[in-house]
Amino acid sequence: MTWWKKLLFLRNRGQFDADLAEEMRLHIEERAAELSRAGLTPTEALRRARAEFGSPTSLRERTRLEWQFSWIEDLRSDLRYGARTLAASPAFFFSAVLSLALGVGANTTLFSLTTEFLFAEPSVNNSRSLWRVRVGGNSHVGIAQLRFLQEAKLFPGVAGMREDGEVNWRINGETRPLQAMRVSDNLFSMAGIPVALGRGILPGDEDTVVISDAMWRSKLAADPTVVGRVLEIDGRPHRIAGVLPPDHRSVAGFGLSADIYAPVRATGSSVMLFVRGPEGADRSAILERLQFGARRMDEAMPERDLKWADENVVEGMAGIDRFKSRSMQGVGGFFAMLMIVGGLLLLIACINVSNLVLARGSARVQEFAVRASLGAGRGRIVRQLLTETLLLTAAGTMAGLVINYFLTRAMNHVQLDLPVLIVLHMAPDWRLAAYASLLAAGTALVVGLLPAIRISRGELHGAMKNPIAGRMTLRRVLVVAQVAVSIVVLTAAVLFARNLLASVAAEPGFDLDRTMFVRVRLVPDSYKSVEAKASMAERIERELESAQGVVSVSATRLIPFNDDSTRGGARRRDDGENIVIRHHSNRIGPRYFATIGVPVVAGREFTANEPENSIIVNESFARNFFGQGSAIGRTVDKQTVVGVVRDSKYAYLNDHMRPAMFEPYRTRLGEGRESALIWMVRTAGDPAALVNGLRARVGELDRSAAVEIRPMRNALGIALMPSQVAGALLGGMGVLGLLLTAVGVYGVLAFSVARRIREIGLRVALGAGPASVMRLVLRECGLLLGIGLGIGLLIAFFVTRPLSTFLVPDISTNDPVTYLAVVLLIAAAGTAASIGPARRALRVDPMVALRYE
Amino acid sequence: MAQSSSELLPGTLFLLILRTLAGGPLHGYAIAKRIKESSKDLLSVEEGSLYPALNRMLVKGWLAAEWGVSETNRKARFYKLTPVGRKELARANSEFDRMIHGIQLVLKNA
Repeated sequence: MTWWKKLLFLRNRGQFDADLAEEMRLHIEERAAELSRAGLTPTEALRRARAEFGSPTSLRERTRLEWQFSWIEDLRSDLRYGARTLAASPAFFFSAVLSLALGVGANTTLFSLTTEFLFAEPSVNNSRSLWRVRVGGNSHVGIAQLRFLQEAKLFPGVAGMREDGEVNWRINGETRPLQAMRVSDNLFSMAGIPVALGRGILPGDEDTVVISDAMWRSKLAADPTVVGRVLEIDGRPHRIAGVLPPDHRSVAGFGLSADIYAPVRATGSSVMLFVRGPEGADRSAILERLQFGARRMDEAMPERDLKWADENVVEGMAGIDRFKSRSMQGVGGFFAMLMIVGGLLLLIACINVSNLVLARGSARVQEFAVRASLGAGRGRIVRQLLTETLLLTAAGTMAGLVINYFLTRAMNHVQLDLPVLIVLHMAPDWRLAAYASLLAAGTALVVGLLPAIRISRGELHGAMKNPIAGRMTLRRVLVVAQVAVSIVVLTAAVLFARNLLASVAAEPGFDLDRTMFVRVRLVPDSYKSVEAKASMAERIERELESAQGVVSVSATRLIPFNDDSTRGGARRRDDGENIVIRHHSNRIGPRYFATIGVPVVAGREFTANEPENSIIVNESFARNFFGQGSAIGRTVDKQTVVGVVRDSKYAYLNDHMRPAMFEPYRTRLGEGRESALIWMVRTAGDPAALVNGLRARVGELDRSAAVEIRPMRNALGIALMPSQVAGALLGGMGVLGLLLTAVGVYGVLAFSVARRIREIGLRVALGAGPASVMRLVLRECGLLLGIGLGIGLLIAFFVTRPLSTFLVPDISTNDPVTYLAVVLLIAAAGTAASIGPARRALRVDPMVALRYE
Repeated sequence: MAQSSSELLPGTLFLLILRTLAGGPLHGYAIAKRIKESSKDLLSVEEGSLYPALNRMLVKGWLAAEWGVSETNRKARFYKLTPVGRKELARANSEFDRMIHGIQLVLKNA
């Protein structure tokens, strides 16, 4: 209430002053009347009364103070004055705001990306009592383990989800693959996942699906009556129970998304586990219960090669809790690096604006002198300057947020070429608002403080009188700092650009140009027996082999660079020694290595009737496991090595010398890969030409199957994604940093030329040619860049070292090529920035310049 | 006679004004005069404190002000207690009593 009255007062100050004046007059008159009743003459009485009363002005000030938020009053006048001065120099205003907007826009966008990707809360009810758990160190467990934990009644709720499932959707005579999240029938109700239309999947549901908003809009024409409609999925009618809201975030996190949710299949599936804890129970309490459950699981359903009670993990659903696992720490580190680079970028922008403010400050020396002589204290002038920078940064931050809005919206729609669906829902929220306000305040301080101190000390006056080149003025120091910072950013950018180039050009160790994969997903219910599936697989394989242009075909369980499987642990060597080895593991058919173009260095490939216990290993495996000498005929856990192949890359481009072991793919068709059959195909010519023909031929064999065929050159999704994302983000920031620095160098040079016009005119009058005038400008530019380069390179050399964890092995952080590229880029930007000022200097007419006097 | 209101115990100026106005609305000068008379010239309230105090109390909502006509037939601003002000008077009164009692106990027994 009090503040409300104060606000009203702000509007009625005129009335207040008049009222108080009237009141004071009455007071003095009454006192005078009293005095004159005591015997004084009226004039004398009035004089005495006035004297007793004291200063009306001071009384008015003190009385008014009771009504004021005085700082607001001062701020108001500062703001009004600041806005007026800024409006008077629009060029300054816009260049400053543009610099800040770019810096803030880039910075907040990285912030949005980080918070969304790493910290976004899943769409659930009360995420604090929901936990993701692992037992036996497994990310996914079978349905039997899920049921066991549910029946153990250790938690109010236990649910499971498989995040990377897929299904075939038959519509209008076509089969389309859909990404599916397979959920236990209690997940929706336990987690409290909201739906926009209809309902979620409920306990007891079978052949029911909940569809995503994107699927509803793009594939079902946003039909409002869609609930109850039936989709033919995996050969069976499924009823649509509900539609998810547009901003649905799955409990798997990290933007993992799907077209549909469907109940998990009762057999052969494995799921991530989620538990609903009791209200208020913390992580250790959940872990205790989980461990208890896992020990009982070991008694009830023992496994040969793992103990359920080992490596039990409880992770929170949002926030920092997600970073407990080691693999996430790498991702977290990458985002931390992005944020640091974003901060440096903003710093460059701040220095630009700081420089502009300084330059303008020297032009405003007179104004400040006038204000100071009129009695403005130094504090007041500093405050005025800070208010102006506050206005600038507020405008810059606003504009930056506009950039953020459009950039994040565009990024939400980017569809990465990945086997899983990743959808981000970046949108402005309170976190962004809080972060942006913090940025604005910090920026105002960085931008405004130096110039304010400098200007209020009146040091600019000295600087004006003493414009001798070569002296390091504050502005030059700032530009040097700016060049140094931008070199650090540029070095990171160049490193990641080279990383991307190296990744694209990387030799995977097999033939990318003459190979493709064929992936056929059969509807599980149509192939209940292994025999039925095997005979279909055989028919497809024959169909592929007989096609024109196909050289050879070989089955495989994993697609190179799209799937990965790692096995670790101790293996028994034929001499009885146990050796710990971590290796890539795959099952492959006959002629696999001939098909993908990897040489066999010893022994042979698998044959059509290969014994179960034959294996092929790569050179690294042979060397690490058997040491020197031939590996052929030796054994690993009773499996006999029949061939050794050259090392190649399997899942990632930095699979450098990774051991690998291959087992025959023959009888266990499609095991573990949810009914998907995969072949690698070698072609005589360009594989892209064969894609459509092969798809049609395979599709003929089973119309309900989903067929995916891609040339390997275009299928480097997972392998290239990290380098592409990092290259795009850091490359963009590098360009922005370079641009901002060029603007900063330009500003200082232009200002310096403007200040030295008379000197230049004199030199020209005394016979200096264009070359020596040019040298004047370029020397200053060279000095600024040179010192900045020296410092920047030194810093960059040390601070970019940790980046090596994100780079492919061929790229080293202390490779001189990187620094050479950085130096060339900066030199080019500096030259571009000095063109304008140099031309200005060349055009100086001595007659005009000297007449300034 | 007290030299200035600064010798008033802290917070007592508000109490004096509230008590004075309990008898009915008064304008500023009359409040000062009434306090001086009631205290038999022992206390005097300076203008420099009176008007800021009155305004502080307006802000707090203890008082309301309206323009009227003084006994000398002049336009004057009259202050009167609001219900909130009455409550404050009661509160401040008992608070003050307790304080005085406490001080007396200390002076007697310490």
